[in-house]
Amino acid sequence: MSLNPATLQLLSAYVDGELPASDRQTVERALAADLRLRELEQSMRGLGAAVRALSEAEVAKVDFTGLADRVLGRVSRRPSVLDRFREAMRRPWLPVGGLVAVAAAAFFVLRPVEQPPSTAGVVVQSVTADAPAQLQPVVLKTESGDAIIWLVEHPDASGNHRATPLPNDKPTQAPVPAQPQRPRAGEL
Amino acid sequence: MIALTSVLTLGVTAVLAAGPVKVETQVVHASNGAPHVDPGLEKMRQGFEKAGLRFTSYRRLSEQTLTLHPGKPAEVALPGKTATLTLQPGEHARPHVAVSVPPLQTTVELGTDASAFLQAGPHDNGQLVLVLTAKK
Repeated sequence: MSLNPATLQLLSAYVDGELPASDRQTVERALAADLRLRELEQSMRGLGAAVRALSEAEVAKVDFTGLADRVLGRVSRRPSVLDRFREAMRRPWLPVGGLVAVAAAAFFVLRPVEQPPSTAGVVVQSVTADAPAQLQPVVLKTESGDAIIWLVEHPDASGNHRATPLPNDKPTQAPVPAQPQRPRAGEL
Repeated sequence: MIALTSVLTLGVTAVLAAGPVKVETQVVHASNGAPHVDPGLEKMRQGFEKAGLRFTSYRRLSEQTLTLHPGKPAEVALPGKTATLTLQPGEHARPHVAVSVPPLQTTVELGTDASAFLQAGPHDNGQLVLVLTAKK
């Protein structure tokens, strides 16, 4: 058997135990007849043993503790909020939309707002009375915002009204003078 | 956001313009008879006194809550007469109520936490008072 690539490949397969029985017998006959081939076969076996020993030694040095956790951790790790925000900001539409939203919010927050009219208290818009000429309706406001609409005799600017118009129905004169809300022009 | 705000604003305006209003009405007899103030009328008594109207007796003759719809008159019965209340249509921050209770005709804006006291004429040696209070 000459030492050509096919012979070396066949010998390597023999050393690895991968040959069928017929080829193995052929190789064994060649080994018995050729000293160089036997030396080469011994070298191959020695080299294979050395490689296996080296591989086993390297494998023994590696620490596989927690390998699965580390791998799974990398695979399942979700991006942080900051990462997602950065990723989102890379999209061209979001910065524009965000600016529009901020501008709209600023418009509604900063624009001058008309103060709504107060809803407290009672306001008398108009008042008339079907009463004798000497009796006039006046509006008396209380501290709590109530409005008393009452007929008084000859109302004047002093506000010291006798707030009772009708015979036998008059309340007594109160010691504290009333402060009427005189009907203003345009209200009546 | 602009569209949402506009919708909300229009909605509030529509409610203010078209919504019915509940008004509590009381008919009170104020007189100078035996001193007496019905429960809930002490504030009225104090307000009247500070306004120069001093009665010694405040008795509640009736009480009811009306739901006023714009333009639709509602009636309140008083001894010997009837008061008519009409919610004025239109956009108002608070209800405008036209009241006719002889001898008075008036239009009042009813605010919160306050009442309108309308003299409603003589009755049983005293005066009838129609009390109107907008309910929240």
